[in-house]
Amino acid sequence: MFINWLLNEIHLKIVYYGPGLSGKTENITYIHKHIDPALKGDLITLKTREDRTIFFDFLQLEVGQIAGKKPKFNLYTVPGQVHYQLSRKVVLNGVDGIVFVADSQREMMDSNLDTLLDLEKHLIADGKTLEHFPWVLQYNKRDLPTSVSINEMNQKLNFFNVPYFESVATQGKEVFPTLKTTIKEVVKHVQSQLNVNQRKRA
Amino acid sequence: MTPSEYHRHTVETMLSKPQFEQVSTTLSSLADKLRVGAVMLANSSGRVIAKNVRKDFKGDITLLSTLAASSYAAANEMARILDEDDNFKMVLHEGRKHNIYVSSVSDHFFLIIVFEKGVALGMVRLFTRKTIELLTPILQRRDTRQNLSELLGGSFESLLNDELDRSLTEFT
Repeated sequence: MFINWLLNEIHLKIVYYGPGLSGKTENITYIHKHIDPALKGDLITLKTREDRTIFFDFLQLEVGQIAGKKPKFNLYTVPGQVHYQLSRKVVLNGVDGIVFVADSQREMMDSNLDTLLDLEKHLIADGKTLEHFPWVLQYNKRDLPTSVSINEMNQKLNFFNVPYFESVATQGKEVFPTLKTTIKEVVKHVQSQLNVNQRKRA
Repeated sequence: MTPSEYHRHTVETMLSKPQFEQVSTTLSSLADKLRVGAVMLANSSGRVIAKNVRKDFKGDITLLSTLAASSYAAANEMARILDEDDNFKMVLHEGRKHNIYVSSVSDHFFLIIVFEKGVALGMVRLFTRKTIELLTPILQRRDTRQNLSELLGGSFESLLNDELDRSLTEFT
């Protein structure tokens, strides 16, 4: 969380993380297309010629003032392909909350887990852990016939009992609720950290 | 994460209002000397902390800063791969009409200067170095901190939740 006391702005950085083609860009594109135009900035997409994310997508959202401060949410995606590991590390810099977009298809289960472990590795390098960090799971592509049951997805990926959503990002299903819950989790986390600090000082 | 680690990660949130004001004044002075389109101080995530933008400047500051932060971070990863002892000090993007000069101020902040082709790069380097010397002590100073607990306490969470429920929905 970054607070600009001069401009009265609160900035949160939310990163959509997940394996290649799981639907990270679809989330951010859907939000960009369907949110009130007054609340959004331009959408940046850094893609290869093959239309795959090479570095990140970026979208800034701004909602109404709260306690005299303007909240701004900076949404990023990471490139999901395995060889863009360093790009993912760069995008995670300063992250406040994560949406892990998992692909529900059975053949993607190993990729989901590998990417989640890759995320944990980057967080640990930055002094954070998945266990003590605000994040949510989005089980995407629930409309596909090869999708794995929610029970199985939770068993394989949801070790820390984080909020999860059953989505179809291309149709917008659960796209906005996923984002809202992630932001709420971030604020809850910051407040709990502040309470820990206050107790330490007392 | 321990509280001290948390503090490290949120160090930029702890700048006081006077610090922000002094940073703004320093950027304004740099922009005047160089007559450049835009000068921004951003944190390592590309969030703009202070800026000085000429009235006729057309670029989107938020997007420029986000992309500059990423290109700078990518350059630093390249430095690491090459076993450089330190990060690259600056990144320069040269265009036909505009140049972008990105220079680190500390581990947490960097300066972005967007200038036209007519402005000499040597001048930009010189005045940027002087500006960094002025900014460093301001950013390192430990002023009385703004009370984050006060801001985020009380009804903040419920007000935010209401606003999110109102705003982050399908626009019809």
